[in-house]
Amino acid sequence: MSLALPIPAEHKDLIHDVALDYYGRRMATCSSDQSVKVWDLQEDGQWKCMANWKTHAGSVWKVTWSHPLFGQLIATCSFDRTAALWEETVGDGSSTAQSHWVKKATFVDSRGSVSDVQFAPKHLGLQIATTSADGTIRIYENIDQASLSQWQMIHEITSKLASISCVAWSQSRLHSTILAVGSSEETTATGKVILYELVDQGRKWVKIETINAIADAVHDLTFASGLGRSFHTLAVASKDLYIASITPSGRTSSFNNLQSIQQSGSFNQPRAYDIRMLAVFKDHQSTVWRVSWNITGTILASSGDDGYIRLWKANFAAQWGNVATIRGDGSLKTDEIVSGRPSRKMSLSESKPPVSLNADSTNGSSSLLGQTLTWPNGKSISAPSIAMWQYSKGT
Amino acid sequence: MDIGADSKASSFSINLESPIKAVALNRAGTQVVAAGRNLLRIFSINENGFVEQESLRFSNNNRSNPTNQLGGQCTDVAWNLNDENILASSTTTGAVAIWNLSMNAVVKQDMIFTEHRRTANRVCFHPTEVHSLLSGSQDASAILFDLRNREHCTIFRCEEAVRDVRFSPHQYFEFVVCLENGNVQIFDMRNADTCVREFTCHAGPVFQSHFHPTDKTLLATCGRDKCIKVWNILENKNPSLEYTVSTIAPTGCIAWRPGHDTHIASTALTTDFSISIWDLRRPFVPFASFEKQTDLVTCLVWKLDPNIIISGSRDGLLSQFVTKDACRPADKLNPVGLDIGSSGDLALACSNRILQGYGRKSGKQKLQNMFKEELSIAEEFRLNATSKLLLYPYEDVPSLSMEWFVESAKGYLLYGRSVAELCANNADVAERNGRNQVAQVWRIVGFLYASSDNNRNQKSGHSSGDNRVSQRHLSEGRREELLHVLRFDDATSEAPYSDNIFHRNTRNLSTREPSLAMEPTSGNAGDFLFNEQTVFEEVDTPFTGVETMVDEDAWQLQTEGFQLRHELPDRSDSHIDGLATKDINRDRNRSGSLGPDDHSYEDALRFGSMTALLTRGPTLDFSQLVQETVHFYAEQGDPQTAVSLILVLGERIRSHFKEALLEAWMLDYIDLLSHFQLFTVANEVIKLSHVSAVGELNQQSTTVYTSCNNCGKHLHKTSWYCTNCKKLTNCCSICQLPVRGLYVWCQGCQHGGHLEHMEQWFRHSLQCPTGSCGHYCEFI
Repeated sequence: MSLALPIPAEHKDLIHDVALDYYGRRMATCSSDQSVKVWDLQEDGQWKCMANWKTHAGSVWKVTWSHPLFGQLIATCSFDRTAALWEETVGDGSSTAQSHWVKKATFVDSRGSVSDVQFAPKHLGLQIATTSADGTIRIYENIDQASLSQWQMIHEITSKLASISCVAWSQSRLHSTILAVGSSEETTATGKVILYELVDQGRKWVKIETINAIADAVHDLTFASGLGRSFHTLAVASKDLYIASITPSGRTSSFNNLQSIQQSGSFNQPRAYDIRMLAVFKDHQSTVWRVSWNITGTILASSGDDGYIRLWKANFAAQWGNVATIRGDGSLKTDEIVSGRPSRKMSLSESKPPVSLNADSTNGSSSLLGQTLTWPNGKSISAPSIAMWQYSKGT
Repeated sequence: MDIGADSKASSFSINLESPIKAVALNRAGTQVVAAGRNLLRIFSINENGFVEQESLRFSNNNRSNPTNQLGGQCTDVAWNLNDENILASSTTTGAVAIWNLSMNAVVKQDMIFTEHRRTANRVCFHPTEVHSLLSGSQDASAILFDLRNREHCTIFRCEEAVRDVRFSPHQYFEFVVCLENGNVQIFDMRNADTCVREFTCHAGPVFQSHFHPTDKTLLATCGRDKCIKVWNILENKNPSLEYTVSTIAPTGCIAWRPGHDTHIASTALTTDFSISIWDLRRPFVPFASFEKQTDLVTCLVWKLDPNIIISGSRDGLLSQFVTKDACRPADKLNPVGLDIGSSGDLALACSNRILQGYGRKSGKQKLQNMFKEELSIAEEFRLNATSKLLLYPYEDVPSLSMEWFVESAKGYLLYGRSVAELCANNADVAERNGRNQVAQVWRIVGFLYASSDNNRNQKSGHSSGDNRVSQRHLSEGRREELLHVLRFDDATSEAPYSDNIFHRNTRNLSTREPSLAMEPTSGNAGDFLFNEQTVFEEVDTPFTGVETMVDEDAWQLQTEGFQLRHELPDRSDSHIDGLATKDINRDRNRSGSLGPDDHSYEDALRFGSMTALLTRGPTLDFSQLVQETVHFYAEQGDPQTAVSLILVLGERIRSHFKEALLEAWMLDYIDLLSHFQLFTVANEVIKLSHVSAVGELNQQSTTVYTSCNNCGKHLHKTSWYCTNCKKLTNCCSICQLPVRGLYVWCQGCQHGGHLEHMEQWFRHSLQCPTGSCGHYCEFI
């Protein structure tokens, strides 16, 4: 049984990246054949290639869509030491069969292959982070909203990492922005993921941590969307798959505390962060190449050298587990996903009431992910409330 | 291929402390000569290093004697392939020098040709003819020297500066000349007047050409246009482009790899310090590359061995590279792309190698086998060049599907009815989407707030039933009763709460006309309120009959009605916990059967009274509970539930959250909604948010600017008069008056006018009504 819809990509070399746009209706692919293709989802569910153009003079490593607020923009980065920004032009309406993309800006500062390019989250405006093999992170900002070709390099961070392979912006609008970079360097056994925080009202990036637990080459990393969480979740694809939470500290799981932090609200100084490894998975038994979150940041997909895609999700106790395994060519799926039910049982939202009256509730303790969300004042639970919850549990 | 020799050879280099411009090997490949500025040194190549044999000295008097033009920089050097002792070098001054190593003099310079007037770029010995030397120069000429006779040389005039000359190894009389204008000319040395063939290879200068060592038809060229091109120069045919390798920088030097028909090594002229070995069958990724250099590599030759390269670089390093030390960029390529779309589609791009299971081999094994299976690696390299692009529609990956989100967003009611009704509906929606826990939360919240609202009323001196009546009437949307309820609220309940009621009521009136879409008996399991309503059916009639009813009367009437039916049992001093549980359990049991039931009513009243007794004094406040629930869902990454709860409960709960937090959640939810293009829902959230930063969202960019249809300028002041061309804009093509109201125009010629005029016109005509336009308009 084949689940996958094969798309005749017809790239002449390896495809290095595939990106779906904000609405999930357009897709961009980039390849070593130096070209980018843009695909549109047709009414009949088929993907049609709308544009195919040569973007660089070397392998194109990454392609990424901007938020539609800024227009139909694509950023690419390449082995040819440049990153580029492309905008779709509105044609004269004569041909809807093809779309045309125009290069709006080229970022040429890198001295090595540009390994990744990422748009900043929307609330930071139109900004682009690039990383290069020479170990430098550069952040560019669009300085003139009316013109997409006016860009300025606003930050240049020189990291100690030898060859940076990937970069990710934290997505939460509640906390100061964090940039995570990963290195694909293989010779040394040092930490390969470094986190930077934007401080001083966005004027400075300060290194907050090197994650030493990850000492193998990192191929991809990405933050889950924030969506009101009080912590960042970072997935790292390396030899194994890592999921880490990054919590601005001083912030325990108590909600009152969260509010007080909100109240203080000064992001001028770098804060201490509580970084916890939530999960390490070796299931791929080989290099994990790519990770991707769904839009709510609840499910992580990883894909490795073994040719399988695995989906991961946390259960009610914040224990991450595999919910589905898909053979890369789509010819086979594990039973879990065919039935679809066991995976559902794992799901957070359906297995347990949000407030549970268990033994923990009396000591008032609670931990980060809400596995034991308890009464803030364990002993003063009013009687009707208890009744309510029993009612709910009995149903 | 001799594998044993490979394993012995190693990479090494020697620093000559002067930029190397060119290197040349002797025929046997045992010695190398490096040329540069005042540099011409010969080294023998040993197993583990270069050993200097000789440093050729330039004549001492080269500065004092202006006729001796060797003072410049060596640009190229060539080693006679038939006489081990003869070398030739070219200089920037245009002189071509012949060196004879067998001479016993200190200066072994044998001859100097000064025919070139400008820099000589290249010298080249004939592969078989010992006395033939070819040189090419900036002065747009190539000269064929006969070493036996100084005077006898043939000058080949070219149209542009010559960058490279090269004898064909296959055709005795032919040589190829690369020009700065991008053309390549093939000459026959017997015919100096004109070239045999000429073709354009590159945009910009062609820096080097190289004949394929075995395939007589192939010629490789490289140029400033960042390309290596391989041409088929089969005779009697136009040269055709066979392969193109696109590099990241202008390519200065190329060399076919011996023994590998499709491999070619290259170095860049700028930017890139590496030596790349390309496989023409996969022209986008170097098959192997040497990347350790710190400066530009200016020249390279293969050491008659497919695994050893001799190169010189600008920083003076003369190096030998062995391919086993090269890195394989292809091994580091990311073979997988993965992305999850907003609706849960999973897109995967994966190399065929992985899909077909080649990837099982671990990296270490591969390394060990690398040189035993050299050919198979080369083969694999080529085969690994393809990826498959696959898309898993979300329908097939149920855990990724976001349908529940879309359905919930569409189904949730956020305003316009009583909290209990909203909650019941939302619970239903959640349940339909398989989110039982969320459904449960909605039910509980609905229950809590239905009863807590009652408590508020009780506190202000009314019986528990009254508010339900008011809500019941609310849901019926009868204007009179709404007004009545409003008055009631104003008179009795707390101020913020009444505001909220007012808020909902006005919406009810204006937007939600069929507010009874959800019938009370629609089977909302666990909904407390609906079960009550049958009771009130009876008391409804007199109530609605009186249009101008005084509040007090109504309440008295209502209270009477209740007291007639039920005595309120006083159980305040019995076991409250147990009772409450019992009551609720009964509620639950009852929720299955929805028929009118006296017991249910009794339960409700008992509960109501009980809670009232419990919370004598301050109101029973569930907000903490709800607050925690909301936070829980926010932490889960489910702003939908969090925001919906807040919006439904409105003022009751909003004050318990920090504005910044509310704002972030709302914006996140709105962002999620826009992923699915649920803009109507998003706008609803914006309207209900009461957070200033969110509320502003739909106040921005609400102006649509129009342009003059004559001059194209934006219309600023008025929309119907263009200040630029002093004309009325958008006049009707028929009556020539500005159009107010419906304006219809042709998308093709942009002419149009009043709808009725156009209708009239196109009834009998096909062409544009302006007459001068002549466009066959399409009027639908």
